[in-house]
Amino acid sequence: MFKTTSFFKSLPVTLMFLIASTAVFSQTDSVGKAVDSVTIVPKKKSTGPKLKGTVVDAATGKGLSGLNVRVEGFSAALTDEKGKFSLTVPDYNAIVTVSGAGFQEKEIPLRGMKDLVVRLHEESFTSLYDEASYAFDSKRLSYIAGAVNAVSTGGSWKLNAETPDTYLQGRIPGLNVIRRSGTAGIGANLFLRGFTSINSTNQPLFVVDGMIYDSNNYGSSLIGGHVNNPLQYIDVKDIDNITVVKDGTASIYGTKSANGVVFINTNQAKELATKIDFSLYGGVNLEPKQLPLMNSNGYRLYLSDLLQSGGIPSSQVAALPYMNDQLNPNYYTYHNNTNWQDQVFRTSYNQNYFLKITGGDDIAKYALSIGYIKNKGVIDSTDLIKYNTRFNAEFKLTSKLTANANLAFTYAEQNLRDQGLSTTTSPIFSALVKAPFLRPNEVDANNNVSPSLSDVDIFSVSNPRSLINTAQSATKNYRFFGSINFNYKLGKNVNLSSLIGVTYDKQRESYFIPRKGVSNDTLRNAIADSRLASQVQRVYNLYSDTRISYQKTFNRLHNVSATAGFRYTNSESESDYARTYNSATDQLISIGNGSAALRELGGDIGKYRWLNNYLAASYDFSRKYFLNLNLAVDGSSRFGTAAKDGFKIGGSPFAVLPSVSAAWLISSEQFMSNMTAIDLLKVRASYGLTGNDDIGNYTSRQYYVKQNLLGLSGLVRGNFGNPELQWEKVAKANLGIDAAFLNEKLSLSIDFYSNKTSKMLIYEPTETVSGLALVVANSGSMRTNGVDIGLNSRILNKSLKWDLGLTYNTYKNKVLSLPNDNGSLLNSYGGATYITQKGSAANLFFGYKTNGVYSSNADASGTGYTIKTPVGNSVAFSGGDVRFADVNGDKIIDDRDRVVIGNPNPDFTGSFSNKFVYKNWSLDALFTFSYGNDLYNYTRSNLESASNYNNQSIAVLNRWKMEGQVTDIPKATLNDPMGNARFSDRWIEDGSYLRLRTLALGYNIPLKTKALKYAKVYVTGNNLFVITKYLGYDPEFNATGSIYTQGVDTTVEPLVRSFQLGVRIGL
Amino acid sequence: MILSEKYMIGNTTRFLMFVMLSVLSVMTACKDTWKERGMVSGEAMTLSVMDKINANANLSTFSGYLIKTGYAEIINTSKNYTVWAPTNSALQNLDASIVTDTAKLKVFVGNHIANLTYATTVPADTTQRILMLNGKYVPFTKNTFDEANISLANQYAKNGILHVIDGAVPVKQSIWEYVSSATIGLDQKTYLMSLNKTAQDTSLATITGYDPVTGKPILKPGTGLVTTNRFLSAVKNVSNEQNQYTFFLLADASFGAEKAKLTKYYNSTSISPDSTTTNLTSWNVVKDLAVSGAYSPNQLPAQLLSVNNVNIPINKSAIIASYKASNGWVYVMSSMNFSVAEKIPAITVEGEVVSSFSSSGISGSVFYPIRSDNKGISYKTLEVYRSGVSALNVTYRLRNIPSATYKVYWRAIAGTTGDPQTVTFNQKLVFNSSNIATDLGYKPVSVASTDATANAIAYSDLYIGDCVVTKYGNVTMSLVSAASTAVNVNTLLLDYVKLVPVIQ
Repeated sequence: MFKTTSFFKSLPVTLMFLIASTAVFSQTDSVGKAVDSVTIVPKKKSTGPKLKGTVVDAATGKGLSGLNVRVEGFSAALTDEKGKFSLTVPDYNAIVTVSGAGFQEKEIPLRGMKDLVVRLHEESFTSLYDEASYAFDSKRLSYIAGAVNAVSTGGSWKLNAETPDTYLQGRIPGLNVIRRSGTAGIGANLFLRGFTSINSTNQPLFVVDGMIYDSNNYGSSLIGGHVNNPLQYIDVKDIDNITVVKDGTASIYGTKSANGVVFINTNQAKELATKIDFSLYGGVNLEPKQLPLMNSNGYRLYLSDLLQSGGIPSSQVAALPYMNDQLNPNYYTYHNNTNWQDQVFRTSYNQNYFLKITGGDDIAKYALSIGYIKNKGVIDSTDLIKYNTRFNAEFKLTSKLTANANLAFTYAEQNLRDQGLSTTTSPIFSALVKAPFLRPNEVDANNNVSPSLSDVDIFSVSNPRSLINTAQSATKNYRFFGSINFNYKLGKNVNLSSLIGVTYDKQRESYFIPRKGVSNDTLRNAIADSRLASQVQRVYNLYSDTRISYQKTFNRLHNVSATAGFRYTNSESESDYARTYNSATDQLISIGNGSAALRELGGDIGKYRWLNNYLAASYDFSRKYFLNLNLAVDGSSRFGTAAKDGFKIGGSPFAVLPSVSAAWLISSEQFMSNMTAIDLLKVRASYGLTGNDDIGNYTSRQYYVKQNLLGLSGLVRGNFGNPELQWEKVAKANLGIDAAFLNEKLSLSIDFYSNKTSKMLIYEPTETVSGLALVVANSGSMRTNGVDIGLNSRILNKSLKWDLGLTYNTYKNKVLSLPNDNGSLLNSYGGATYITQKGSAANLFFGYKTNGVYSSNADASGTGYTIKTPVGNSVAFSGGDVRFADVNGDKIIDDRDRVVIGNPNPDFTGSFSNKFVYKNWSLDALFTFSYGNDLYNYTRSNLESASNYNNQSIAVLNRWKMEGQVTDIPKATLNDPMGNARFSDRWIEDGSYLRLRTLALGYNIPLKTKALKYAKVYVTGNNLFVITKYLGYDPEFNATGSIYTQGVDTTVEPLVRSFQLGVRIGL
Repeated sequence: MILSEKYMIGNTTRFLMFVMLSVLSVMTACKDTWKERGMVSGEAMTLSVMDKINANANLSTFSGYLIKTGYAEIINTSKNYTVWAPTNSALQNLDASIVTDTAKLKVFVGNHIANLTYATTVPADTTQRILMLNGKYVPFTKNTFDEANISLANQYAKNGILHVIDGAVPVKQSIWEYVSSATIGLDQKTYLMSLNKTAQDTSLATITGYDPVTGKPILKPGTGLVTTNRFLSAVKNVSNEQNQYTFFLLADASFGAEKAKLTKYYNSTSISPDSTTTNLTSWNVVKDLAVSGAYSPNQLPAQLLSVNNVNIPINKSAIIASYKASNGWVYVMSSMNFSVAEKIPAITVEGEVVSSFSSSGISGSVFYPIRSDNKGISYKTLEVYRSGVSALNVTYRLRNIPSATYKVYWRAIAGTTGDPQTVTFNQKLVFNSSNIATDLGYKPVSVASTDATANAIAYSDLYIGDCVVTKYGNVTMSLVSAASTAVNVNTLLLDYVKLVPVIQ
């Protein structure tokens, strides 16, 4: 076992070395021979009518010389210096393609035209003639019948602070990207067209360079609120293009395709000449805007009210050290005015270096990149250091055999701090709730400040500085992701290919929370002061994709292609953790120093295998009528042996997931030839079955888990084991229109979709006598309907170019059935309760409705509302209590008065982007927005509970104090006997926002020297402003990918406002 | 599949509006959502209590006093205060000696300010006693503050509440302060003051070092001195402001009369009547002169029960004077006729509370069984069985026995269930005090019977004889077994001995 591990450990390095050296040798071999690739001119002399035309620059109207004009597979010509050309065409119904360096590629159906004027936009212009790149092939968007979007990153040199997932925000219609937090590299959760599952993953499948990229998390992080994001190992600058398949046509990836597929293709050498790109960036991350909290004066008055409400006599209140204004030894400890948020947040710096070399010869081409990122967090003492390398190469081994190698190795080190619901160990949360009259350092009776930090305070709140200075939470991760794809030309039209690749990922975490300055934790059998832990997670995936493909055009009218193949994944993951407590001193921080009696070991092993047999066939007639058929037949070790769907081979169930799509390119029809304003018009429809295999590796089987009983270890049944457990089925229907008008000045795609999930995984509560709380079964269904709109428009097209882009997504989710149709499922997170019930969206906030605060005792007694205490006494509300709505009319405010109080799903989300280009200048502005989503402000529910010693927000200054006072903040009551702070619409806020997400200015320095090819300067601002009514740090956050945590603000590190200045030099 | 769903159109319209609104809001600059929430407005939220006082012209005198005494600064700090401010006219007649003496004025002003907030939102019949900054408690009801009426209530401020009152509330003495400065009942006062003791409190004294041998702190002489008083600690702490008491001060004649009734029970071993007798007698009188609870003259019942379970007979016509102290009531009484029988109560000596045995090595024969009597009430008893010692003495030491003639009873029952001693036997009691020995002679113990009547008699107290104690002090009582070593003969059995004084 150990040997295998070390072999695989060394494998990436060895492979890297081998491939790199091959490339270098082939490079040296061919020095001097390197020539730029040549356009292949058809061998046969074509005969037919002549087409005349001009190709002009759409912006200036000037003729463009040296552009390639052709009829695919028939004839080709070059434009002269005035842009004129003459081309032999088979007939005047042919399709002419125009392309050339620096300009977009465009297709024009002649539709009888004999004289042609083609207006071309520049290469980076977003067009429906762009290509969408899949795993091994690419297809022009105008030919695609499914719902597909493509993004060409253009190197994204301006946006180096992104990870691939956050990069997609606002760029794909239908994809709602919600960033998890402001922590560097933590990424985002992607919701493509809403969600398709309530208990399985809703994240799309990532396919990087033809290989499935494992973006799952294996085991949770030791560090509170942290999520390890595997996508951060891909540098955005390495990405060439991204294609997102949103509809049923993704079904070719079988039971992994339910949430769509994101194809990421990394940079390949496009030219043989050696190109060197070097960039360096430096930037600053600004301290977030602070939440307005009470100062010492306001807080002490609040405490006075609070203590009095708790029945503490005034003599005892006056004797409390923080209420004693007489000079005494503790005077200076308790008489300060500290802004604790200042103690936690810092303006910090980020830097980034990146080097890319591409080049090669006839035999081998390569793209090599090396990057380094150091990004300090806005939480003091946190940072991310990342080294990434990538080596992509293409080999022409024989005339028939070619190979591609894509190898990437990334290493990342990150210093983190607890966030989120780890309230006692999160520096942010402690800073928010800590009494402002305290100070971070110890102080003596004469106001001499000690360098040693203050211990946990009189209210048991940790010292945020201790959590920053003494606590340690670090991760060290690496991932090797590499594949080799062989391609053998069996015949003129037949290719045989096979890809084999491995993912090897290791994450190590170490964690230490000191005893001094941190409030204790209570364990089952001890008090924990210091906390120590460490964890290792490993993932090893072996992946292969072998296929045979056929492609042929008959009579230049019938284009046929088909691919059949199989994909195989063998995934092994393991996580091991050790946790202990109470090391002797805060200097002993490693796991071995903790108390042996409290040591706790655990972990997980996960293995599964997946086999996906697929067939993809497509046919089009004259590039006008398109028909595609996909079929996947999936087997997986996760499926239960008695699964109802699919069919069985040798007792193992296989999922059968077909899809069909068709499109009609209306604009290529003859009758459209008069409508010159319309460049392109296409309608398309698709329907397909997709599946979700995220049902747990072993859930369908019965297993045992360890159980400790009075110090003895034993095994107990871990689950029921459901042999009928199977993949979730998502049927996806899509109807779309693509259109481009006025020489593509306006292009538009609209998609209507309906996703129906059946066999949806439900955790059904069971009877107590069963001994297990839940049983997992495929017993629910739901539907998501929605619309995506993508719009691109060139508003100005003179020397100043202005492009406006817009994406817009809306969806509505509805649960169609549950195991018990009249019942509901309740889920809780961070104090919030979500309800899932038939007929409405799956994750609605469920709590109490409020209507202000009783202004007086008479007002309260007028309603006669009471609560029942746990012992059964009735207690009436009084002045200053929250006026809860009595929904069921029994005058008792209890669980039965809960109603739906919010919906975390947005009414719509999207973006609009602006791009200005003027001479050497370019300016990009991307705005993202979300409208109508409700958020549960957990942070504010702590800062405005007015029920404990936590410091409160300034809103609590307006708390109810006197009879007749009209306010919406209840009175301060110690321990909240009336439940004023319970989960209610007081904490539900409108999460709508509009954000200037990125503003990037680029300048191309005009160069006289030939030593440099180019030099560019970028200034980028991220998250520059956000317009929102939301009262937390930022309305964008996402604790976990689960829909049952969506919209809960658990005090995570807010999104960072940052600026970067970068220089890029080309050699 | 129906795709023309209404909501999509609705959302799109909303979207367009949203775009327009966003553009508008960008143009009108971002409005800070927190500004509004955190903004406090209105006098109640922005002015301090002191500001409120200053704003009221009718409180200018009190405001001046607040400034003079330094309270003005205190009630401007970030803690909650309630101020009952007397109007200018209410302060017109304030004793000039208070106004001129800053220390006195500070105590006076402090009598109108309390920590925390107290509003008049309580029911009309509720009286709260509120701790003032000067350490006194003042009663506060919906309409009154001590004797003053609240003319303007519940003026809320940022840091508390202001009530305007129509009279000054003078600082009242506590019961103990009153007694200490009393001009009548001097004999009682003198006696009570004589109970004062001064001692050094280790927690308050200055520590100058630590004894290298014992490790104990070395205290600086003269520091940390505290005065304690036996009456306050043993009877009622009537100097405590927090609780309320009723205290009776006897006029000299009455005090003397009560002492005279008791003095013979405190015959001392020294020359009579000496200081010991006087002190003991005086203590016995005063120990029943304070009770918990403030009984106003109207509420005063005919009798109250003291902490020592002595009835305090109250003849309202005997009240010479009464004083409402800050922590209760003081009544000066011309007479208070205590019952001597209650003051000199019967003494019960439990058989199992043994001081010593005359012979060692009998521990295997000594039992303390718990048994049930004829009424089913369980009792603990002493039984020495099969000790093999002739005339075994079991000694009980009785302390502080008043000088009197006592009728001696015992209860000792043999033959109960499980008792090995089934037949009667003899034992005797011998008393030794102040050189007088009383031997009450061997008496048979009772035997439990199955007959209810006989059993009731067996379980009743059995009169043994009389014992005369001539001097107040300690008495040794011995229970002696028969002069035999025989089993069932030299047994000792005792539930209790009762000494009932003969009151003359």
